[in-house]
Amino acid sequence: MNALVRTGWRSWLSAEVAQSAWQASAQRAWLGWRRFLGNPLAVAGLAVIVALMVVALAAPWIATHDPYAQDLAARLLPPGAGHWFGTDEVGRDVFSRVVYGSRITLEIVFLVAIIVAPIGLAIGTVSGYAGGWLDTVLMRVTDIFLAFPGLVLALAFVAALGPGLFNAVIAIALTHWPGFARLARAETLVVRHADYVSASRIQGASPMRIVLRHVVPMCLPSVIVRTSLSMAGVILTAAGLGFLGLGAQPPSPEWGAMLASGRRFLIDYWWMPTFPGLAILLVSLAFNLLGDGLRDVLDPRSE
Amino acid sequence: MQQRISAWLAAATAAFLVPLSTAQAKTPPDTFVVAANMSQMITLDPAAINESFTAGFMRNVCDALIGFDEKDPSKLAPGIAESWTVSPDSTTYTLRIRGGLRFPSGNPVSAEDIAWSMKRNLKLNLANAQRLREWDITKDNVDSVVQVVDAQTLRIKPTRPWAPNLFLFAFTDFRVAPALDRREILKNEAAGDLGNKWLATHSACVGPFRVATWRPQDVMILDRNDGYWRRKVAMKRVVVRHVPEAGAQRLMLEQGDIDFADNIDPADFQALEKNPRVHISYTPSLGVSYMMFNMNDPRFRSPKLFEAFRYLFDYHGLESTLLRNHSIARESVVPNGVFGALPESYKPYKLDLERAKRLIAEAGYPDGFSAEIAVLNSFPYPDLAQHLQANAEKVGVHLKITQMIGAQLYQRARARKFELYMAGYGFNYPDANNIFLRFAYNPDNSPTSKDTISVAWRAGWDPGASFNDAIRAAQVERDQAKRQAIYEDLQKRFNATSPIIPLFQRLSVNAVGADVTAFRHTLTGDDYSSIEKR
Amino acid sequence: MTLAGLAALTFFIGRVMPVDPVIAIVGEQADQETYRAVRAQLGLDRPLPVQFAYYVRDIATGNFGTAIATGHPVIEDIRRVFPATLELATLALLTGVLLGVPLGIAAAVWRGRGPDHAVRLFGLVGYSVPHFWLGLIALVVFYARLHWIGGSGRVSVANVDLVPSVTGMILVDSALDRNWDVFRDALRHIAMPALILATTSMAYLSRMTRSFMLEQLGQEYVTTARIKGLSGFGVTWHAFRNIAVPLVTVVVLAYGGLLDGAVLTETVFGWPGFGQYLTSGLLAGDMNVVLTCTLLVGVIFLALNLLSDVLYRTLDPRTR
Repeated sequence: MNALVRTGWRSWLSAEVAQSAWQASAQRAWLGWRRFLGNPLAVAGLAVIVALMVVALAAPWIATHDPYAQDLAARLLPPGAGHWFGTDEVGRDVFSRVVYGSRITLEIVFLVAIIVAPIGLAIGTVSGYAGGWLDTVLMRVTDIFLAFPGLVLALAFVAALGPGLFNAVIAIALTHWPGFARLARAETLVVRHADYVSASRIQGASPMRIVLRHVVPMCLPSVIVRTSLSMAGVILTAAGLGFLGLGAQPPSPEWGAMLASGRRFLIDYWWMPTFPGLAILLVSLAFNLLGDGLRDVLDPRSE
Repeated sequence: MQQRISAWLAAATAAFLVPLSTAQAKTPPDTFVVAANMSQMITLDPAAINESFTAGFMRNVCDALIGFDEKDPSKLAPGIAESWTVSPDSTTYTLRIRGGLRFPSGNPVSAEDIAWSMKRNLKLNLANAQRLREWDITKDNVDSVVQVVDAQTLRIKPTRPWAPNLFLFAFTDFRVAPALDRREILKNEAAGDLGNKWLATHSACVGPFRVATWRPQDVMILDRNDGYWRRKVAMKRVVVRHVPEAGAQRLMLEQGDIDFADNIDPADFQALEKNPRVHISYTPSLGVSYMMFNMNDPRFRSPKLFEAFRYLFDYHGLESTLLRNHSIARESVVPNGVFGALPESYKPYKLDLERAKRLIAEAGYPDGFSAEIAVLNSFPYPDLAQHLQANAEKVGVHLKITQMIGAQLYQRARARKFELYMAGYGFNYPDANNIFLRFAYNPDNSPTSKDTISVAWRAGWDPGASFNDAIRAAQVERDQAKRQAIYEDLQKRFNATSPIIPLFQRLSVNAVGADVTAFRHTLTGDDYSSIEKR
Repeated sequence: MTLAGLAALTFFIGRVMPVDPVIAIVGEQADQETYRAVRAQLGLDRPLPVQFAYYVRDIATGNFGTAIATGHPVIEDIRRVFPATLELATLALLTGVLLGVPLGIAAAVWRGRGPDHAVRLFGLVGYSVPHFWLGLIALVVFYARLHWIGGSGRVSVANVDLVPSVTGMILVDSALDRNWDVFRDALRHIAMPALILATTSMAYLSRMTRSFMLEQLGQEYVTTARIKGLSGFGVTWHAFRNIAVPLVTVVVLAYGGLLDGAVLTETVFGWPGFGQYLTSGLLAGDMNVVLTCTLLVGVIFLALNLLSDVLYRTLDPRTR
């Protein structure tokens, strides 16, 4: 650390020979970050997502009206000075609803990510490392889930569990974990024959330890990439469910539900479904761009 | 090329005059083209049709015994029965069947066909058997209640002396006693099913049209039956396309690709009103929107609570904005235009948050309460529920809305598994008996009751012996004025004590292309035989 | 064994759904007697394991039950609606290939520069856009305002049932019948839904093509060819020929993905196909329809995966 203070962190990060493992990891991250910055689309994606988080956190200050306040006299007003995105069929301000809706979108994305990635990772690595009948059984289960079109499966689950935001999250998570499991397993299969893994095994490390310390870290890059790319699909699926009335319930300003209720007004009052639709498109695109950029940086094989 | 195609067209179908340049599509002058959401159409068998779209549509294929006067719809008029007499003690009805009628197959129509169809209805025991059971006509007594005197005469001897006007209403619905072509149907019977499978996709009754083709969720084609008894029918063919999107229907109507859009969304009303290529009109229907409490929940017992919620809706505001031309405020359970209804001016409630808050406190909830409201997920219920939710919040009541589709919602209603509930209802015939039987009559409020059809039962509401008795008494009261008085009194008592809150009466929207010069819409459906085009 | 698991999963979903198929048939206003009668008719009053046993036995004998909404056997219904989706998906795939592959090649050839970013962005937009929203906008703009395309459905009203149905695909049937007016009409109706459905596969195919091409362009023979003076076009063409095989397998996989998109696209455009059939069955709680359709989709996915593997092995000269 003294070296850091004395010569400045920039030169520390670009030093030819790393003095410690920590410095080596930091250097790798720094290089990766610089490569990432060289990809304008990926940076744009990241910027949008950061903006989304800012908007969600600062919603009460950014929104111009109460997103739930109805005003029958002011319904279906076009975008203008008083209402930047116009008003909906009961007079609520569309801009404020889109702003508050960002919170719900983030909530969904976050919840699904923290459910799906660990579970998929766990099942995939265990399955890949253990092999044998455990592998076969787990992979069959995964195949069964994968054999369904995503939306249909999510639809069926939500219909079974009942409408609501939380149930929608569960349903979406249930449809996305198989992809992660497959990915993790594929990575595990490659890693498990590596020398250092065998060395660990000879030294008497338990399978659990090996998986956690050696296998999982190798899978992390592709899992991270996949998470970002999946989130785009998650947002679309959530919008689809909201569109069918099975996601967040009214008066919640969830973007998919806003699309659903605004869809009837598309022809003459285009602002109602258009702005939430654009928001979905923008955020979904951002996750895709981010994931793409991350893949270029983290996964050298994609070159 | 043009000639060859014209020849092809003429050979394959009736004479279409449509030019094939698709830039400006127009529909042929003797063909009526409809766009509708046909996803609810399950069967065409009159003994089984239970939902309103198919029923309204099939009314143009199967005539009923009795109809409504075209000039004054509150009066009954001859249908397939050209006249009838009622005995002084109201126990014998003699109906004279119109002579010279023939089925599309060529078979002559006789009273035997009608009697047979009623017995068939009961034997098959599908959705419409209960429309006969409602009048105490059952499998066991039908042979003595329904008698064929001769080919042109049908005698019906009900077991109760129903008020004649009321009982005759039953026969305005073709599903109760259609004139079915018994011989043709039995020819196509399969394994003793009385033609149920065949009639699910074919028609065999008397009416202005017959079903030529039906592909579920795709298209239905009706062909005219020549020599229709009621009038000369201008349309040779009616084509109904399945278009599930209301927006797409509207676009097709504006383009002139169709003559009639069955599911115009209120969001499109204003644009269509301004469009010179479209005629749009609104007529009252027998559909209502309502909400109710579940009295099986120990929290919801006080009539003051029910009264409080009646003050949480801005009826006038909603009627003139959100529900403009879609519904009218109707604060009594019996809709306008129905025999026994209180006058249209009866509007005792309006938005009054102060009063609502006071009543809720008097009901035992000075700090309000929380509850879930189960809501049908089609317009206008989610919006109505959100309106209620916003107003309820202001008086301390926190409502959580759960939207669901019909099949799911009605299941919860039948199981009495809800707290608050908001949906619509469609009544069958324009007499208050119909309304009170469904919404109030509840002699057995226990969980094992067989009357699960009653909305009062679903709400866990026992109106009391005197209420139930009054309903039964009105059913056999011959004096129309006295019947009217009984129903008016019942409506007021209903509002004072019931957990069921009537809100709005639906209007039926009729959007046709400007080429359509005549098209009769009634309280019970659209009359395709009356259509004329330029 | 996967199939058995599939059947079990779909059965489980079906029975757990809180949608009551009896009510879908008898309606809200049915009395207790009618309700019970129809419920017994549908076999829903038997205990769950018994129902499953019947279900398995029925499937094994090829009896997939009757659909509530149509009153016909589900198999018959599927045979009727599937060609519409097949036509739509095939056209969408062709569009995706014809547009996606060249874009992918361009992105690879000009890697890192303008075209690459543009193609990437374009492709990703295709992945990210909500199809139902795009479909509605397309109808408003291209049908209502510009009159370029036909409206809802497969053909306009005048042309319903005009051409004898040989394959069930109107484009093919009208071409066989040489009825070019119907062909044009059908084309005008299928253009927009196919294009919208194609956006996802376009994105996928352009990215896969780019990946494959980059792999090839990095190989030695390419560098050698360039040194020897072969033109840019010639190099690209050679590289492309080498990726044709893996590309075909990818295309086959993309086809399966189109079934997913069909569900919502068909609803917006009133396309009477498989997707719409499945959705309405799902929302009506029609178990026979849901189970059979999902089984079918599962089988198709598996079959496509298998086909993809087989094609790869037979066509790739390196693995012979």
